[in-house]
Amino acid sequence: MSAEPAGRRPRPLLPYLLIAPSLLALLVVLAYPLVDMVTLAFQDMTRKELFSGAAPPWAGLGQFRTILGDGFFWTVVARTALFTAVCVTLTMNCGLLVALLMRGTSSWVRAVVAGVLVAVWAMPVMVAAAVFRWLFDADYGLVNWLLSTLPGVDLARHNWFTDPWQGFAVITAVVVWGALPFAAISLHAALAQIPPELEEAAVIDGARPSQVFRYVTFPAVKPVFVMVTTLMAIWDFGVFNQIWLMRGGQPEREYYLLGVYSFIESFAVNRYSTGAAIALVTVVLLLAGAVLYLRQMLRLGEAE
Amino acid sequence: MGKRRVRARRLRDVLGLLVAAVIGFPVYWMVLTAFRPATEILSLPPEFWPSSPTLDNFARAMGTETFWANVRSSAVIGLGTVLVSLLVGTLAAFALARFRFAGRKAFVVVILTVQMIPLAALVIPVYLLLNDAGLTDSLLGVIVVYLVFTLPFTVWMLHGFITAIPVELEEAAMVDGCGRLGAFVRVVLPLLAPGLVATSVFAMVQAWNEYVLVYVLLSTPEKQTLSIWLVSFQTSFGTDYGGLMAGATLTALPVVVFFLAVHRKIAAGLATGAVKG
Amino acid sequence: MTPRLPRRSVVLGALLLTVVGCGSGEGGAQGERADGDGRLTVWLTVDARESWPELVASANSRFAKAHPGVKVDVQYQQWTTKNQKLDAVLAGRNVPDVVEMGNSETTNYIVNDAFAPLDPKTFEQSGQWLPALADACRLDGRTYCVPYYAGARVGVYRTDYFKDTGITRAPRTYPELISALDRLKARYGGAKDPGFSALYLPGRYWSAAMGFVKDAGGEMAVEKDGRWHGALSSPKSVAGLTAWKKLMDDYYVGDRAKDNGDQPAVIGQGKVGVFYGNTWEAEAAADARSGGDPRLKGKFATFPFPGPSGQLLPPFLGGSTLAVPAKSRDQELAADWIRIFTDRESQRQLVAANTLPNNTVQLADVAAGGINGPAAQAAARGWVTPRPRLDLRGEVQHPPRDAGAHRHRQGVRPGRDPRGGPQDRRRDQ
Repeated sequence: MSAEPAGRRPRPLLPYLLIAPSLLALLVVLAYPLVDMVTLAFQDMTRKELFSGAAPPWAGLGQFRTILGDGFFWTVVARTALFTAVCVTLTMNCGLLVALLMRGTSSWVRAVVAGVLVAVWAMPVMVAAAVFRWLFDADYGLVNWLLSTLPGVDLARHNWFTDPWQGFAVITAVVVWGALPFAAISLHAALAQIPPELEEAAVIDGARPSQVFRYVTFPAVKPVFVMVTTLMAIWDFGVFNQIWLMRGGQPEREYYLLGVYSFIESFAVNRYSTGAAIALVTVVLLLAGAVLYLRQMLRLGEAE
Repeated sequence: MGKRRVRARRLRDVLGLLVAAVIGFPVYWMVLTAFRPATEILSLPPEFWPSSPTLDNFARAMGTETFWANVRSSAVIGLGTVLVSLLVGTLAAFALARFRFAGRKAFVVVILTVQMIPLAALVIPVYLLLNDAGLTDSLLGVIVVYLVFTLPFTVWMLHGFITAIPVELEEAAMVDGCGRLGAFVRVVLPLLAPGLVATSVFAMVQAWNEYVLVYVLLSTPEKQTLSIWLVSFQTSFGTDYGGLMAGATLTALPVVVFFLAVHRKIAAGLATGAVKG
Repeated sequence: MTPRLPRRSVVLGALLLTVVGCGSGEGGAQGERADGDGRLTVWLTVDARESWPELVASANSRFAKAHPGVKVDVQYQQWTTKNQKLDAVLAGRNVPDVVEMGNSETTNYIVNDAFAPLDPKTFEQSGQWLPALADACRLDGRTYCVPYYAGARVGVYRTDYFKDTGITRAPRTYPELISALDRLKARYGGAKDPGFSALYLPGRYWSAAMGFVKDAGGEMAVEKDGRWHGALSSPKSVAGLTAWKKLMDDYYVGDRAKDNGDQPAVIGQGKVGVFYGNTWEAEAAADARSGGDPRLKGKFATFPFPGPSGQLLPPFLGGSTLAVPAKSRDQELAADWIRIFTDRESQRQLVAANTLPNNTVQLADVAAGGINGPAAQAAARGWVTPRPRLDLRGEVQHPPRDAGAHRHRQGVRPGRDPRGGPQDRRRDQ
C-alpha cells in the first residue's frame, strides 16, 4: 500500500474527501436496509410482525440450517454458477469482438452499430422478454418457422422450454443479448481511450496484428475489461427478470436460479426471513467466488 | 497497399452492418409490432414488413391521461440520477484509481458488495426508511434511492476508465504547471469522456426502466414514471402488445437520441486532438 | 422493524435531507400527507378503471353528497405487483383506507391482523353474500372485508362457425358438446387447416383442468389430521384429468405447455371454434387493446360448459373483496365508502358491466338471461381452492407442493386474470 505513484506529494486527506460523498450517500440510504436484511435472516418474520412492527422471534441459525441442508438449494447454486459462467464468457467475448469490429469500421457504420446497441440497451426487459417469447413461441414463433425452412428440420410446434437445457439456452440468449451493449460500448470506450501512438509505435516496431492486440491493445483495456467482467458476473449471478418473464411468472423448479429462489421465498410464500437468508448466502457466495479475482483486481491499479 | 486497406475496411463495414442487423432484430420486431394492427401480431407465416402500417398503437399509447406527466417524471428522475451520480462517482473513482490510502480495499469491497444484494430483499426496508424520512411519493426520494443503486456501478466503471489513462499524461501536465485540478480537467476529463458517456447511458437506462422500486415508492399517478405507464398495457384482458411496443418504442427513443447526440460530440472532441500530450 | 428502528431512520432521513437537499429543487416532504384530514385513499385494481369506471364515478359522487369536504383519491393498482407494494405500505405509516383484495389472498392478510373488523349488518344484502367470497372475509366469527364481485368461467363459441357448420344451438350436454366439436373439426380443422383448434385448451390452464377434477368428484388436496395431502393421484381426480386430456388430444392443436394468459389474442386470430373462459374474454377477443380482432365483434356467444358427469363443469369461483387496513386513520369513512360502493345500486351497475354480483339475489337475476347468464348459472357449482388451516403464529400451511396444482395455482388471480405475476401466488394462500 506504500506504492504511492511517483511525483505525488502524499496528501492523506484528499482521497477521503473524494470518496466521502459516495460513502455518505451509501451509508445514509443503505445502512438501515442492510442491517435490517441481515437481522431478518436470523429471525423468523411473518406478515404479522411486518404489519404490526413487533419484533419477530429470533431463529438463530435456523434459516441457514434449513437452506444449507436442502439438496435442492445446492442444485440451484450449481445451476446458477454454471449459468453465470456461460453468460459471462459469451457476453465478454462477443462484446470484445463487437468493440474491436466497431473500431475498424467507417464512422457511419460505427454510428449505426452504436445506435443499435443503445436501442437494445434502452429496451425494457419486460418488452425484450415479450419479443423473445414470441420469437421462440411454439405455435407462432419466428425461430421455429425459420429453422423449419431448413431441409430435414421440422420444428413446427416445438416448445423450447419443455427441456430445461433448451430453455436455458434461450434464456442465455436473452441475457447475453441484453448485456452485450453494455460490454461492447464500455470496451469500445476503453479502446477509444488508447492513444493511437501506442499501437502505431508497435506496428512500426514490426509487431503482427495479433501481437499488437496481445501486448498493446488488450493490456490497455484490461482495467475496463476486468471491471465489466466483475459486474457481469455479479448481475448474471442474480438474474431474475428474464427467467420470471420468460416463464410467464410461473417458473418451474427446473428454472430456479438463486435470484428467483430468494424472490419466491420472500414474496410468493412470505417467508421473508428465508428469503433474506438466501440473499445473504448469495452475497457470501459471490464474495467468496470473487476473492481470487478481487485480489488480482486490487493489485491491478498498482501493477499497471 | 492503400487499396487493400480500403478493401479491408469495406469488409469490416459489411460485417459491422451484419452484426448490427442480427443484434438489432428484436428491436426491429418491437418497432414493427408497434406499427402493426393488433390482428397481425400473431400471424403465421411471419411477416417481416407491415402490410398495413397503422399509427393506432401510438395514438392509443400517447392518449393515456398521464402520459406527458409521466414523461416529465421520468426525465426529472433520469437526469437527476445521472448528473448527481456522475459528479459524486467521478470523485470517488478518481480517488480509487489514483491514490493508495488506508481503507481503499474496504471501500472497493463495499462498492462491490452493494451490487450483489438482490434488490427484492431491499424493497420493504428502503420503503420504510423513505417513509420515515417523508420521502415517499416524492421524485426526490426516488432520485436518492436510484443514486445509491447506480453509484457503486458508476464508481466501479469510472475507476476502470481512469486507471486506463496513463498516469504519465497527468504528471506531465502537472510538471507543466497545471495544478491537480487543472491536470484533471485538461487531461483526464477529455480522455474520460467516452467512459463518462457509456456510464451515463447506463445510469440513464437503469433509472429509465426500473420498475419495482419506483412502483412501491410513488403513488400519485401524475408522479409515476414511464416504466409504470408501460406496465399498464398489461390489463386484465390480456396484454395490449401493440400499445406496449409503441410505448416501449417511445420510451427508448429519447435514450437513443441522447446517446447519439453525446456520442458525436465526443467523437469530434477526440478528433480535434485533445489527447495530444 | 422493531419499534426503535423508525426513530433511527428518522435521524438518518434528516441527515439525508441535509446531504442531498442542496442539489435539488424538489421540495423535501411535499409527498407526505397526513391522514385523518378528510381525505380517503382507495386502492382498486385496474379492472375498475377498465370495465366499470362509471360505477366508481357514481359511487364517489354519492359518497361526496354524504360526506361533503372529504376528497376520495382512487389509485389503480396492477394485480401482478399490488401486494408487494401493499406489504411495504402496510408496514409503514401512510396506508390506504380501502384496498381491493383477491378472494383467495384475503385470508392471509386477515390472520396477520392487516385489516380492521367490519360489522356485516351495516352492509346491504350481507345476508346473501356469495359464500365463496364471504367465507374468505370471515375469521373466528368476525368479518374483515366485504365481497365486491365474482367471476366464473363458461364456454364461449363462434356463432358464425356454428351456423356454417349447421349447429343450431349451443351444446347443453357433454355429448352435444363433443358432437359439435367433432363437426367443427371436420369442417375447419385437420388437413384443411392444421392450425385450427375446435376447442382451445392449453395445458397450463390449471383452473380448467381442476374443473374436470372437481366434476369427476376429485380434489386437489384433502386435509387429514391437520395436514394437507395432495389428492390429484386419487382415482377420481385421475378420471377427471383423463377426460380433460382427451379433449386436448382430440381438439386442441397448439402448444400444450402454454397457459391461458394470451387467450383473447390467440382467439382473435380466428382459428378457434370454442374456448373456456370468462364472459369478458369474448369481448376481449374482439378488442384490439387485448390483441383481438375488432372484426369478430358480435360473433361470440356463451354457454354453461357441460361436464362429463352430466352436470355443469364446476368453475373456479374467483372474485374480489374490499377491506379497511387496521392502520387506516379514517376507518369509519372508509367503511362508509365501501358501503356505498357495494350496495344494491352499485351492484346493479356491476351487473350491467357483465360482471357477477357479490350476492345470490342479484346473481339469480343474472342467471335468468343475457350474455353473462351462463356464468351466473355455472357459479352455482363454483369452487375455491382449499383454505389452509392456520397455526398459532398465523402462518399458513401450504397444500403439498407435489399436488401439482400448487405450481399452477401460483399464477392465478381469482376472478379474472389468469395471468400470473410474482405476487399472485400470495393471494392463493
